[in-house]
Amino acid sequence: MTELIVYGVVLGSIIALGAIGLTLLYGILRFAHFAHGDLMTLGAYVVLLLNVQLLPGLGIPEFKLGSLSFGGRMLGALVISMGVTAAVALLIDRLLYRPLRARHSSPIIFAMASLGMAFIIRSLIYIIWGPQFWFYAQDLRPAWELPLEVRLRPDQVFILVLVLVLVVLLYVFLQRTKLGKAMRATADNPQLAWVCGIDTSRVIAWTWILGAALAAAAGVLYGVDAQLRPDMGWSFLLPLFAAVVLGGIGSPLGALVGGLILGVVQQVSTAFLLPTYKPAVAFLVLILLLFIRPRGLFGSA
Amino acid sequence: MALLDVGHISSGYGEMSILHDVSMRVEPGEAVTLIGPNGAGKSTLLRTIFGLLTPTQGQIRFDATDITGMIPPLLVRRGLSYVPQVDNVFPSLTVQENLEMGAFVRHDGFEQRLEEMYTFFPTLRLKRKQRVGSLSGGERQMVAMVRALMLDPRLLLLDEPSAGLAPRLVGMVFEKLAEINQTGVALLIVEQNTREALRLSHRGYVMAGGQVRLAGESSQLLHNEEVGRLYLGGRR
Repeated sequence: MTELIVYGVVLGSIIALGAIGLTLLYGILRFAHFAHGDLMTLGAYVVLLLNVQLLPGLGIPEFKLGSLSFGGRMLGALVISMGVTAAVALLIDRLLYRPLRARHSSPIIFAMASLGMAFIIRSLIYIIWGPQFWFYAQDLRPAWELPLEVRLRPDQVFILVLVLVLVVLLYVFLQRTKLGKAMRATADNPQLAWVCGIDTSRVIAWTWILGAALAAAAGVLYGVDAQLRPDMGWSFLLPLFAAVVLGGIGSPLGALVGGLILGVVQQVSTAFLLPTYKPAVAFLVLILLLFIRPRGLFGSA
Repeated sequence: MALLDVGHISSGYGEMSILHDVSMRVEPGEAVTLIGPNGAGKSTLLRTIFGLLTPTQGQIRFDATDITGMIPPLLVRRGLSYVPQVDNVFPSLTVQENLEMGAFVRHDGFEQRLEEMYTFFPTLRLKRKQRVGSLSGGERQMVAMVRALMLDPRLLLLDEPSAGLAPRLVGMVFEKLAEINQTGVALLIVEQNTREALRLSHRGYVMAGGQVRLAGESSQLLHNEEVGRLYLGGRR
């Protein structure tokens, strides 16, 4: 049981990374970004391309890091992938969403456009990498035996540490920097932000950069924990939205807590139910919680 | 030369035109009130001056520069600030963060300006770490005004600063506005509390149906029988 909770926290921290980006995007752009899961997939496959398919051929060795199944080259690939995914998101915004903003399209048009973009990204990944599973590393690493009969792989510890680092960095950015505060202000009252002279297009660009980079990291971490599939991000979409709603739409802290709750509930449910029912359990929790707190855990009026 | 010079402006929302050939001006350091019934176009005039609406005709000059159609990020850098009537604060941000956003385009002198404003509005210093959403209506209105003052503007546009406030707070808001004006900031105020607003201002314009119907010294308007009957509640 303890082990399932710990695995749930690992899964939940991955959901949280994606959900935080999704909730930030919703706060600023006011639409449900359905391509978010597929940005996760893209991030994961960019690391596959770099670290497994490209860099080894160029004779760049992997610098092993302790007991992890990967090393320094992989971390480099992760950083590049976050950058590449952010650049792709900015390009998509320029080509697709900015024209929609210019003609003041309704949120449903944005949502449908992002759904279309989700299909495009996924199809491209199918075309380039095929429908098969991919793995970052083939070798199995022994798990660490922890107290309370918890067995945890070093990779999973890495996932938790990296998510923690990214969340702390994001928190500092949003609370302490001028741009981060401008982002919160824009989410709060976009009209007034414009009246203050805040350059809204710059805020939008940074929201895409942050949201996409976090999504890429989430995708890569899921790849580290499990395997790569073209529909991996798509299957994350429902838990991502559930985490956002559970935490209160627009609240990054809420998305973090919502993601962790969903991860734990889903994993613990496998002790009683088939893993196939995991998403159903997640939604049951969501519905129950919304009965008690209709605006989510950290939602405001 | 006038600080703000609005010349023959027509403006509105999309197809719906609201202002027709409006001309008015604000001199440096002057306080000017716009009065008139609901739907007269007072708020539309403020929004057009501040670049939230683009006029279909006419020219707006600020400090001898043509600012017609200029967007708010450029206008605030030139010394023009605007306080909307509603939604004029960032509720989930703290008092101090609201003021920081007011000074967003400012690159230096923020700390000094903040100190000046806290000295001017001591209550805000005490509540600087509180979320604005948790403050009272009067305190929010103070945050909204101070936020607009953070850039040390030369002209402050205020859309009904006393709307929705308890009578006791209305007096406080007008006192503060008079103090702000005394520091040399010109004011252009749209107000329903016409009498109080005219008392603090030098001149006033009476608007109706999207046009300026009457202009004059505040004292003249306060004693004008027709204005008194129509807009000041009929009594002195």
